[in-house]
Amino acid sequence: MSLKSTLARNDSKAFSDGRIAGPMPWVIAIMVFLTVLAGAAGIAIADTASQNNEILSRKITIQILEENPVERRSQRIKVSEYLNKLPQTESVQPLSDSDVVQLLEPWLGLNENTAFESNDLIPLPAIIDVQMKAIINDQFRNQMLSDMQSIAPSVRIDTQESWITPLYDLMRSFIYLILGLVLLLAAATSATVVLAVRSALDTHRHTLDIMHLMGSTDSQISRLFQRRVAVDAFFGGAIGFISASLTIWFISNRLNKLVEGVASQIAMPWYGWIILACIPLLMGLLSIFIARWTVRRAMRKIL
Amino acid sequence: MQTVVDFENVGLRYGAGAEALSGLSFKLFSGSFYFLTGTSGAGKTSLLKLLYLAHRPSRGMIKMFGEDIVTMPRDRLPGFRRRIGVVFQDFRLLNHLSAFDNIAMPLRISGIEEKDLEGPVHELLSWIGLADRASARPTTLSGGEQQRVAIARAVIGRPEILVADEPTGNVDPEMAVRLLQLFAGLNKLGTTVIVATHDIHLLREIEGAQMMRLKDGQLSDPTGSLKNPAVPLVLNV
Repeated sequence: MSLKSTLARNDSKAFSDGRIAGPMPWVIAIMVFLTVLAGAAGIAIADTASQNNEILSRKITIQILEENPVERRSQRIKVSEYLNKLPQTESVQPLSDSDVVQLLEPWLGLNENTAFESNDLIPLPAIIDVQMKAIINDQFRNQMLSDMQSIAPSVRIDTQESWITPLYDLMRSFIYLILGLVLLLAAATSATVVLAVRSALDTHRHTLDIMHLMGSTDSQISRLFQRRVAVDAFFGGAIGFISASLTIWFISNRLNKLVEGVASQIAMPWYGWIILACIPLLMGLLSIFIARWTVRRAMRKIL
Repeated sequence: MQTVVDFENVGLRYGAGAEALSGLSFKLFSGSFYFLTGTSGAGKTSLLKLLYLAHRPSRGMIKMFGEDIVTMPRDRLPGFRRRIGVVFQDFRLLNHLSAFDNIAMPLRISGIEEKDLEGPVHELLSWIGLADRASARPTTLSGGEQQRVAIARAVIGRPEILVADEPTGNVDPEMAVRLLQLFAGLNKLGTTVIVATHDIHLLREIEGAQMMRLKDGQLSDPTGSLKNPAVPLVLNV
């Protein structure tokens, strides 16, 4: 039986209590709770951004601003045929007049009964949603525009990229901010552990001095603290993780009730839960490492 | 006889104060029994602290078991400390542990299995007359009982050197003699024993014991008051 394991088995007898400091598990619980929430937000945003970025960037919208409804429908068919023939096109979806009315209803107050009557008064554009196989460059876009203008002179191409890029830049900034927060929380946890271990070192100074003079190594003594910090850290981590998971579940439910927009698409991917579950474990391991470092640093000051 | 402790021109200073120990040069031999005497403040406890490796000297050279412990890396010192048993003047028992666990502590630190340490600990508890107090906390023991537990803790690991600071200060004369007999028994098994004491009568209880006298931090010559100081083994070179 090694020295290491024998003392480890009996180390519960070395100190008068089994814990490092009363509030430490609760402080770690709060740190883990905040870190898991921050991590969840970061993972969900990153996942949403990566899922939507490429699809939306490959999407373009063609508008035909022809006043005459008959001519407009004819141009819509011809432009759709042109787009379908392009090898770069993945799918073409011309919107029917009723789809356009539905799309514009929130802004123009139209409905299906009144739309066609008022069509002469308020000319509606023909809209064609096009999914390209790859993100198109300016040269190809101009070529397409030129070709389509020969069929429909009032045609316009709207790329999604123009509004998506600033949105995803913002999302990326949020992710960096969250990473910074996680690092700050880890630093705060480390500082908490250092203070708690220093306090425990003072409390158990008499016991440590005796053990030291009997030939305890720094490793044996630091292991006593590591074990206690581990118990506190994993207990606090479990509390923090469970609380944060319930909070994430609650927020996810609220987000799912949103009908449209990028916010409604934000969801925690399955791998996100694995990463989040690692946070209390990593916090625990970090606490153990910090405890070991603190004790060994303190022990080096005595002979 | 083999030299187990070799001091050469050793001095010890606490902070910026005067030297508590100065110019100590002597050798201690394996299997010998030494009494260390001197008035209060003479430096007995300081010398013992050097012997049980609680301090490094401010100057000079100390060899223990043939190795220079002054320049030795500190991670090697625990191995040397396990070869030295210490009885502290103030016992330094761990109050949250039972008498049994206090005595077992050095064996646990050395990695002895629980099943292997129970026998020796109970045997020693019986020998010091505390078999029925194995589970008692030190705070519930009398001063004399605490001292016996402290001594048992120091000798349980069969140390090569036993350092005791006033080990019989709190026990009755009969128990003092019994404890000295325990030390003598260990000494016969090869343990080098160093006992710091004020009690001059104890010196006559151990045949062949040597005496070291400290005065103002310096070693003086043996007094010759021992029964059989045939060879002055303790020398102030």
